Amino acid sequence: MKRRHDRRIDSSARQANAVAALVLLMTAVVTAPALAAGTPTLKDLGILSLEELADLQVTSVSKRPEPLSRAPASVYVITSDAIRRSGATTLPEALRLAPNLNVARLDSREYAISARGFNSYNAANKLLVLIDGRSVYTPLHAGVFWDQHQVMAEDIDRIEVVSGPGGTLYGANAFNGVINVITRHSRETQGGLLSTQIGNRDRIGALRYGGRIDDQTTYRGYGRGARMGKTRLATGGSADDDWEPRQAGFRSDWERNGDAVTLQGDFFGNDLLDGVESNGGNILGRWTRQLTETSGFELQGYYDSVERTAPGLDERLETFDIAGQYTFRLGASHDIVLGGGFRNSVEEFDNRVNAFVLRPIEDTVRLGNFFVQDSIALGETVTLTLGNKFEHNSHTGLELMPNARLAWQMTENTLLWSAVSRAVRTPSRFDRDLQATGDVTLLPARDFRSETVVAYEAGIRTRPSDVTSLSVSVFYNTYDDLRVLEQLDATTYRFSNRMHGTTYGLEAWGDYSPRDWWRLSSGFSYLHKDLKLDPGASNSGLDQHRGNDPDYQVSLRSSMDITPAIEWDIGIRFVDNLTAPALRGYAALDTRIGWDVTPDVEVSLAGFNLLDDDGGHGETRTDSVRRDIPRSVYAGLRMRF
Amino acid sequence: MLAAAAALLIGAAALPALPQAEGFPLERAVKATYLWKFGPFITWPQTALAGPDSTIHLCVAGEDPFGAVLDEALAGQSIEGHPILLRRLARVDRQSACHILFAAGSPEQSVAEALEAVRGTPVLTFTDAARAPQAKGIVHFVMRDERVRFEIDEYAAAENGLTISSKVLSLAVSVRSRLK
Repeated sequence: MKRRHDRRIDSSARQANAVAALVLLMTAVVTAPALAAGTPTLKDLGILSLEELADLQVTSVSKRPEPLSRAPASVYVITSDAIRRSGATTLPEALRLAPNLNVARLDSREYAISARGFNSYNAANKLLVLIDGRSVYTPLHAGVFWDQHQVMAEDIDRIEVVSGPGGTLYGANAFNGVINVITRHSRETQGGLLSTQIGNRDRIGALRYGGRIDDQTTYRGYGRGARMGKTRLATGGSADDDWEPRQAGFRSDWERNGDAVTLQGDFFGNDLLDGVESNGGNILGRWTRQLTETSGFELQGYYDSVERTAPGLDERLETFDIAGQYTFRLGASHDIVLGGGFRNSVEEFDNRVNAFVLRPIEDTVRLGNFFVQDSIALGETVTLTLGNKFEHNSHTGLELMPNARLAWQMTENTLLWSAVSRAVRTPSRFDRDLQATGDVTLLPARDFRSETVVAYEAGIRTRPSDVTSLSVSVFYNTYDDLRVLEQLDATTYRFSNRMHGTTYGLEAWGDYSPRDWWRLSSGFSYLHKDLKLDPGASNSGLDQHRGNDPDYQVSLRSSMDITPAIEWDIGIRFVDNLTAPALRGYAALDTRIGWDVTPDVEVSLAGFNLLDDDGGHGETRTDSVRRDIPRSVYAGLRMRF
Repeated sequence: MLAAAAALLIGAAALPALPQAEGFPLERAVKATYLWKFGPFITWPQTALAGPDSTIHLCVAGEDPFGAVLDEALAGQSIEGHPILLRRLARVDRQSACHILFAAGSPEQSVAEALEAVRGTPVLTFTDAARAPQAKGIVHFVMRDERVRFEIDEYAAAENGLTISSKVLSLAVSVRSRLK
């Protein structure tokens, strides 16, 4: 099956970006009155323009009652086009494209990723990451083991990055943000695809094949293997951190009338370092049914099992999750989403290497939740959304995550929004069960409570002209019960919740297309943190939990279609200094040029961190364990057959 | 645990088929609308459209997936003043004299055969990925993000003597260049 991937910076690429979608916004507003009253007639369709037809959602069951461009939140959508053009081959590298994320690479394999602060290897625990609805953060330390999620970049449809609490719809751990990775429907990945990138550091090869069983059923299968190269020691010389991920998986979709069923799964086996491995797999099923024009439901269940082993260390996590939601319209102006779910996680951490152990070794956490959200149309241009999630955690009991959002469609091209929300981060196993005895004593914090945040946010999304778009969001967060490591006496430490504080900041991004074939994009984020210990808390001086965050980040990118067959992207990002511990800020330059030699063959050349010499730059951590990210280049080939 | 998840899915698939929803699926209606909406953005050679009032023949070849939806969509519509005549054909060939053709395919004449039969004649060919992913006409419907989108083959358009407005090209999810 020969399928040609997107070639140009055409309207579809822009439209997919929630921020750049104000043309859609305009058409959505224009057509909404005609279509809101139920099934559009053929006469209604006849009046629409080509753009409006191209934008019309023909199935209406989705997580949100309104399209992303109208969502009253700070959302950035990374499109598959943007991922291809940037040359990113892994998920964390693709996430660098979101201006509202701070992505810090630790070494060849690990990343610390956060939104709105608290980024550090130990404290990057405030983000919920989902792949097709499956939660991938680990309850061990509430972060993400990115090596376990080596999706094929070509299978990603889009990544929705929400900065700000997503507690009501997404639940606990959607504390500072939500990353939602959505893969392509299998009908869009038909035929064979070979993708390989070979360079001075990384070597990646992936193969995918998609087919169609009948009118209603499609599938795909993929396999991906790589050898990821070494980074550099801060003191000079090569770090010994090369590793080999191997992952394979499948997805199948069946559709008929208003029913859609998806079954997908992945399994992986990674060689991380000498004697260190991770392996596991997951299987997920989802059933979506559209009942009427304005109602439908979705049911999803998954099972996920992973294991990480090293000499003297075994970690195992087994998750079973089931969730459902029902969307319907009440009266003329209420769009309601009701949902709930249950998750059972069994986690085992057996450390025989050093004194830091978890007791008990194995633990089961049961999470149940129920949520309701009502989007109320107050007049033609204003929508008020009220929601609450009740979550019960077998360790901390009942948690409430309410939120209220107001969206005002000021003009056809401008949306103004504001929100107040509360979210929590429930304790991870490290928080509660980690302990040590010996030269240093770490007492377990059995009464560790959930961290809480109340976030006040506002933003504006506008399209000043046909070729420019802008999105600005500001936030003010008040935190309580933040984790801190207290020192009780000379050798005794304990985690507690005795830190609180506020942060405020701004996120902005915009696009300008001086020509049909040329787009300039920019992103900016600023953060100010003011965190204090509660009175009486004893400061251990270890500031990891405040996160090590740059005050600002700036990114600039130019995307050009030099000819219909040749695309060239170049981007630069500036990241401010880190202070605790201190690390110099850096500038990184990445570029990629892609050439469609034939409609089925694309070759590319990409370079990353081109401003660095062989020594590279550090993005996080202290000098003794810091790894520097050096310059890398690769040549790539994509072939359809 | 896995058994429970599997049981859920098997249960779902075993449900009796829903009666056809009243009305029509929006997807079909949008495709039917596209068939004539493209008209103003295409330039046919003089020989194909003699005068400003000449009728445009919109043909469906093979197993018609639209039915009454297409008749209703075309009712009262015209393309830049040209009246539209809807014809349903079992098979097409060079003499069929269609200006717009939706190649639906059938056991008698596959989509690819239909496209080959009219190649070089001034006809705007439409195909649907949902029916036959491999055979692509000048306009090839694809689903993206719950929306009906399309791929454009400018090279095939040039082969058929047609030019396509850049407005349509900019809306396409992919364009196969007219340059070889």
